[in-house]
Amino acid sequence: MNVLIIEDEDLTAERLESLLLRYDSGIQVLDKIPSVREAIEFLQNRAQELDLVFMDIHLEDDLCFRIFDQINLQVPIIFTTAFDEYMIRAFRVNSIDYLLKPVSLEGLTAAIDKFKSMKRQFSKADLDTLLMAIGQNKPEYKTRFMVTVGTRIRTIEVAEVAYFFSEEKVTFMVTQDGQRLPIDYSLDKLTTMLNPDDFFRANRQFLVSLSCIKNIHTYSQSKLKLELAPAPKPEVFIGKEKITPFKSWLDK
Amino acid sequence: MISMSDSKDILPNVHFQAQFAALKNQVSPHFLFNSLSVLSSLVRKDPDLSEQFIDHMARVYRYLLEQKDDQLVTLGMELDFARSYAFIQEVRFARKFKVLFQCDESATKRTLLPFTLQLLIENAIRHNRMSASEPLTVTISTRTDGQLVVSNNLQIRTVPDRTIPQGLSSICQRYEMYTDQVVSVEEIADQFQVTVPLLPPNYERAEAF
Repeated sequence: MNVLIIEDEDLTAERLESLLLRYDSGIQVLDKIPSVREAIEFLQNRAQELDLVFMDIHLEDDLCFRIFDQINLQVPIIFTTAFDEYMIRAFRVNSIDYLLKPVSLEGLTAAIDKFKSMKRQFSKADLDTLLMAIGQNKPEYKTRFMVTVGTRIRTIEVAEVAYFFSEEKVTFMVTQDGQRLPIDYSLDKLTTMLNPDDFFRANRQFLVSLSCIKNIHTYSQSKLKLELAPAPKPEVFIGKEKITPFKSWLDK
Repeated sequence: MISMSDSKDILPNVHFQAQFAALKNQVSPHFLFNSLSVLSSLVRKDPDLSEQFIDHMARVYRYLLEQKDDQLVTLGMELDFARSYAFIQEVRFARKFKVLFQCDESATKRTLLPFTLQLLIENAIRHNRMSASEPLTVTISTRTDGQLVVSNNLQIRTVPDRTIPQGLSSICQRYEMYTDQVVSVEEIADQFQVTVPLLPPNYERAEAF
């Protein structure tokens, strides 16, 4: 059996190799590769020699999934991961095997045995489903906005944004240094595009970042008043029904 | 209506502590299991290095447990912790990753927020490529004006994005609670550089709220 190990920690790769040889001394480890770039190079030329690939998620230069953007890989894969709940869930759903680090001989034996038994049923479709599931589990949040100021086009990093608010159906972005810039997205749309750990929809008019909240006042039994920096024109209140989600957001 | 002073401090403090707890938690799982994975290989290959590795892991986790809330620590303590953390990462990524410590002895009594150095080292690893031919080097130094500078050569990975990550923004936010001096983040030529204010030994937390 010919095997390729794709892993960015040399010692972990060596350990996997020695366990593979203990499992079956006839196994040939054709190479140990630490990066996406070198993996693509190898697989483009020699994928047909391989029976099985062990693949770590996080590699020297990128995530291993980039390999599949470049190559239509038909070789079965056992993924290795240190700790990743999303991965584990995705693998369970798709019943393709994975190994948790540090890899034990028992774990490796079970994975290869299981793998051998399902080899016949294995198809490319399983891998696609798996990769899709992983993609869906890791939402990509917006990281910057392009804005036009007069004739100039520039970008604002999300981290620079204090809050968003809407006024007469126009959405504005207010940066931490006090710039007020109109943008094309509605507050509803923005709420889905930004990381919910960082932004909270305080009310219909305001979507605020954690960092812009300078003070929180109990205004009445059923209302909180937010003091934001830079200070907005209308006062910002959090109504009764949003107080609980707001507090749990603060306490996340 | 409850007056402003009644509600003062309560929520921000809760938020502050929660953020600190989240920060401590994010250190453990990946780092722990990857380190154990390396150790399981090392233990046969190089028993002496394994012993040192275990010793540094114990130091890292002891420090994690000791910092119960976000109180200022001395630069000396942070450096001890960072040296252990860096040792582990340098073994994990042998020949690809290096941390250089160039701090002036006279600055070690000044204070800063716990995990600042570890988060900045981790941030460099998370956002940059490294390989034997193009190593990633993090340099930790102090300046005569009492600032700490953590820099690395830029070899940005395509994923994650080069925008300010959670670790870095949380450092900036935590310092805002303590001081008017800002944490600055710059790209100078091919270097990524974060400058952090070092506070006096008996510094009292500013009333930020």
